[in-house]
Amino acid sequence: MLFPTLDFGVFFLVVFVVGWAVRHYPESRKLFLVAASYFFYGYWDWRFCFLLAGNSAVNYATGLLIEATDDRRRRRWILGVGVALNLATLGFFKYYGFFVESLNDLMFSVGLERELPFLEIVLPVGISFFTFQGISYIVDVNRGVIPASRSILNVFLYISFFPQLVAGPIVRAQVMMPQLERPPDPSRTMAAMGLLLIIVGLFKKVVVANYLATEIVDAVFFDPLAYGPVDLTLAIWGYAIQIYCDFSAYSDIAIGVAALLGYRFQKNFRQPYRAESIRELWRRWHISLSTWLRDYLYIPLGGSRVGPVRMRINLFLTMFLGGIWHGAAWTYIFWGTLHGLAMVVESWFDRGDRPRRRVLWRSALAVFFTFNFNCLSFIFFRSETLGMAFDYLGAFGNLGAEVMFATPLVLSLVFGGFAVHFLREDWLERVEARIRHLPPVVLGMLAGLAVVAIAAMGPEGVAPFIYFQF
Amino acid sequence: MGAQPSQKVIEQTEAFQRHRAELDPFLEAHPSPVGKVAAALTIAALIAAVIGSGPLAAWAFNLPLWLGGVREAAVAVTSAWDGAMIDIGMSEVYTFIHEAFHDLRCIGSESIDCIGR
Repeated sequence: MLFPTLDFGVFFLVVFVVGWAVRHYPESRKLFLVAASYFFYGYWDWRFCFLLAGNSAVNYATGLLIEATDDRRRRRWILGVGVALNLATLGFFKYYGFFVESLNDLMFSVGLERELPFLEIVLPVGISFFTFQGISYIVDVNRGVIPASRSILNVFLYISFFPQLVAGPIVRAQVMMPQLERPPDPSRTMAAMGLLLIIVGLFKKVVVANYLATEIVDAVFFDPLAYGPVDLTLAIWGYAIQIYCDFSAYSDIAIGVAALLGYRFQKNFRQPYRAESIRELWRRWHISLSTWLRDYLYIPLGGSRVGPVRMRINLFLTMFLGGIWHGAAWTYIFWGTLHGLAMVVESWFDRGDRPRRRVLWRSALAVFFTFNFNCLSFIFFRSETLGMAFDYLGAFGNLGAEVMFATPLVLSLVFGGFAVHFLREDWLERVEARIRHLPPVVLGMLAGLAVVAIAAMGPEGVAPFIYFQF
Repeated sequence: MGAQPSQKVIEQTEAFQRHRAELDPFLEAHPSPVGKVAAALTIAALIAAVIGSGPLAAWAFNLPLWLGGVREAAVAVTSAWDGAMIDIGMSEVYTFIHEAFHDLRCIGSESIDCIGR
């Protein structure tokens, strides 16, 4: 079930009405939200509901077992088994095919003709997201940051809650679990901001991301050798805006929907393309993943409390594994490697937190280089194979090629999508401050008109969100 | 039972909480009672159903066949609703926005669906 569809609209209205109607019975409310979340997830493939339930049950039991002992070694051992079970499931569904294919290629290249059996495994939607949430829960219990939940419903709801289930944000246990301990307050619903986030998200996905995909990006990446430098440049800038609008739209709608049901998630994006370095980019892009990797991978590896060489190795490893998290393909590994190398290079020039005089031209240049380096890495991220990515780069030599896609719509989506990154960071809060005092009838009319206008502007049908594949 | 968090974990948690406040999209937002939200959502759904009656009818028609009587009832109701909205001219608003945006899209475009626009 995709957010920008009538299926989801009807589903959400039912969940909203029933969810608040049973608010005086907190356990029933949670049970209803779990059932709704499983219905939402089962809409793709009901068989994976068992996987989701199994994952939740394992993490629930692991949390209780960890808390039941004071022996540090025993706790670490239980945690290790729990994390291994989570990663084994993820590894099997996500990486088995890639591993077998790569190993078979390697054996063939050294003259061994025996092939390992290849299984056609369907990737369960959102598995990377709910696996990371599960790990976050048991690690936080082990660290003593949160207590293990006695309520199996709380753990099931934390892992399966439908707004963030299939494409994040990766909501941390220490953010969500305390909210599940007490029923949400019906007098304190974040209505105006929730609606605003949903509408902004719908516009970004239905209009900006979908048109950039259909009007330029898909065609150019399908056959890059047929185009020249202008179209190739526009397509990769377009893809940068498309993936931002697509992914941040999902996060916006998820945050808005959760808010209307009485729960708070965190921001997942903060105008990422105004970043002046790759390090800053990762503080603004997919924040829930970058902070997860920092807290559960980079810091346990030693973080920056170790020597400079080891610190750079940790940095590189974190970004490299972040690349692999995105998918089982050499293109993602290459993308992660590029970001890892960039972070290592940047760390050589790092001046720490020492204040630096801000010079406009230097900032503009830094933004330009960071954005275009990110675009360069996106060529690998978006291409089907490494070969096609190198074809894309090679096609920049087609200097005589005709310009095909520089239409006013494409240009305004690309440059408009980039320009909004330089609005005030609190522009949405300022809009919310203006509309929050409106009477509900006016707020509803504005929301209804906005939704209809967005639907009318959008192309026929809605493509799935890009991050569903991760 | 349960171990006490180490100093490192406490520092990390405090840093996370500070960071969390920075990332709270509702820090400056103003809470409203759920009744107000329900009223706004009802009005929004109504407006969408009035202007978007065509897509609503198409959605009902595309509901899965196994829904049987529910689907038939949905098709009957939404088709009658769409007919009524066409009669009073409301569905033209949707068509107007759709056409206007697609005319804009076709400026300078060589897409097949732009030929003749």
